Amino acid sequence: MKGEEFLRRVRKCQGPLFCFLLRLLKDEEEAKEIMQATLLRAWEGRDGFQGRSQFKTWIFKIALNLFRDRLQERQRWQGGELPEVAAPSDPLKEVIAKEERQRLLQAIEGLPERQRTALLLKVYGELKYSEVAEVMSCSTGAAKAHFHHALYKLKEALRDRDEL
Amino acid sequence: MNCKEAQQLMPDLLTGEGTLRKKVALRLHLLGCRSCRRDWEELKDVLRGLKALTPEVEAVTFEVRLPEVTEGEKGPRWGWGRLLPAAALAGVLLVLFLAWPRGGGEMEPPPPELLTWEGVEEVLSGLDEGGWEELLALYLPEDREGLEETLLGLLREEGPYDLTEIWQEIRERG
Repeated sequence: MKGEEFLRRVRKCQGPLFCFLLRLLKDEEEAKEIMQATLLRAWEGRDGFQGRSQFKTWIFKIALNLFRDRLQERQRWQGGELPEVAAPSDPLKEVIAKEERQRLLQAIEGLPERQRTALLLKVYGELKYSEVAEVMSCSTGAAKAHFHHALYKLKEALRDRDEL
Repeated sequence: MNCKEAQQLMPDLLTGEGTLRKKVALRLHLLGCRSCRRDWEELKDVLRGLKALTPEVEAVTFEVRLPEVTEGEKGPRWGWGRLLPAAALAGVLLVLFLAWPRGGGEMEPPPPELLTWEGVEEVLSGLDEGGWEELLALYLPEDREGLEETLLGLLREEGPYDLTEIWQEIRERG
């Protein structure tokens, strides 16, 4: 794959990829770091990309592997605070109360890892079930089940809080 | 469709998965089921909330830095690879020029739009919330069965379809 073609493909998926990493890592600087490492690894391994899977799926898989490597190093999912994402300047987004954001973040934190990963890949990565399955190395049915469970758990978590 | 089936479909249809047939069936179920409508709205709220958690990517300063991405990869400036698209475009323009009516005559109206199954699916799938509301509003709630019969009947038939006739039929039955 030539450089221009590589960059063209990267530009098409870098938004969803960055959003995915940002939510996964909960830290903007670290997300940028992993993003850069992902792109470098993809660039170095571009000759190994056979086109059997989609470029987007391939690069998400690299990102997830790098994230898992980082996770093993730091075990950052064990507790810790929930850092704030850079505040949105869009007035529409400012309508979403800080409390509601926090509730949603905590509900995401409470999900089992595979459900959380499927959720983030689907929502922020905008991947199809088959692509989520490929990135997570599981069956399409399992990817779908992880996403369904995650989404309904968040819904129930938010509803429970509302009813308190 | 019962409530359990509807709830299994909701996450799929909210994230762009699932067939049009399922989408229509779910919409019809939602018309008559208050409990599922509540679930549907709550799931939409969750997804909206999730999207809003992440700032716009444009707002984040991010720069792709790759070593020597284009170095040594530029081919000859005027190779066949570069000339072929231009030649194809020129050919299309020439055909259009030769086929264009002259002497101020009116162009023939386009033939009726015949769509394949995929075409109809694409059009209906492209309906936004307002579009679906408009379509469903054509039917009184008590005529849900009529709507279901019409839509699912249409979707069972083999294409190609005349979309104008389909809409006309839907409106007439409404």
